[in-house]
Amino acid sequence: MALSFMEDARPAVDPAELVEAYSTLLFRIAHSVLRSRTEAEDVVQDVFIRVLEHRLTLSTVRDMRVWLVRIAWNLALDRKRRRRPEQLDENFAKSLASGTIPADAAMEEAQRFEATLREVERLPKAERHVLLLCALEELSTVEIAGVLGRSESAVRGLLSRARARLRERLEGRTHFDERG
Amino acid sequence: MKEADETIDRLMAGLRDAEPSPGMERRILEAMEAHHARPSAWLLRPSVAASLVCAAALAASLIVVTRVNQPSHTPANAADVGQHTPPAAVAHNAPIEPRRPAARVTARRPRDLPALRDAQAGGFPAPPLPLTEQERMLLRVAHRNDAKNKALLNPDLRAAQSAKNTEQFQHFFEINAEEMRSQSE
Repeated sequence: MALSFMEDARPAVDPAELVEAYSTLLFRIAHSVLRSRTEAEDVVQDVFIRVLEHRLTLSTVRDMRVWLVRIAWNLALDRKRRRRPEQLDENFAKSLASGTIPADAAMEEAQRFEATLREVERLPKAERHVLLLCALEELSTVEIAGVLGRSESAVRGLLSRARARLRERLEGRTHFDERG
Repeated sequence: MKEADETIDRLMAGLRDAEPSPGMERRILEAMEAHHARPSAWLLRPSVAASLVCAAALAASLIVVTRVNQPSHTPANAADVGQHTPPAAVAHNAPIEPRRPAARVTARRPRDLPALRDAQAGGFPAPPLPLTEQERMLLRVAHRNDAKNKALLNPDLRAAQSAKNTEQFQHFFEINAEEMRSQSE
């Protein structure tokens, strides 16, 4: 693809190479927040439009990966604020349910995923953010700390508390459902 | 507990394994190229556009005000300059001294040169010269608000006064001539 718009600016970093290297990671970052493929792709596009607008200063960015992830993360959070909560989680939960099991079991599994997503959304914001970024297993603790503006030890502590709180709530819900 | 952990892990794995639709990179590159071809977004903002319009209007009004406030009594060309030059200077064809020291003129920056060239052009209005002695006297007369002196500035009254003086003078000599004639007789 001829990228004539990048030739006249002569940036030190080629935005086309950034698209190739980071678009999938940024998609997953946005998708972990939005749980919608279409909206996550829109976010990735917005990220690279911003990159294009700042193409002349790209060489001054110290950590390109963290910088891009932070933009995608913030754009995804901003987009999520504008839509109804849990609007798209149902579809995502259905897509996670196994296709090889009977329909009634798949529906039960989808409901369990949906309930888990609701509990994730109920977590304190800092814990939720750390949990979602760690879930991708593509960012180191240092990078997650850089994206969220926290220390590494804080990130580890938040992740541990998030997992424990989520487990506790899911078990409580299970016991409640069994009693009910 | 095991079941909860398993559900969390499967959910996290689902988030981790999410894949974009095929062709996402190509669509992003096309969107970037289309964005690059558009004019800058900040230029299209209403506030920026309004600011540009206001700035243009302000600049236009400044030009108009500058033109209107130019002194109207400034001589239009070199011929008019001669009318205001003191008679002595005209008689000796003395050069008109510049109003500013020469050193300041030579110290102009290059960006001032076009303006300087325009100022030195033949048709450019010359700066106002200082008043002559006669003009200053006229101003003093006018500013004292003396009715008699002000009446002298009126050409009709001055002509009438002159005619009256002439008549009195002639009348005086006519009387003297008659007296001399009667004495000789």
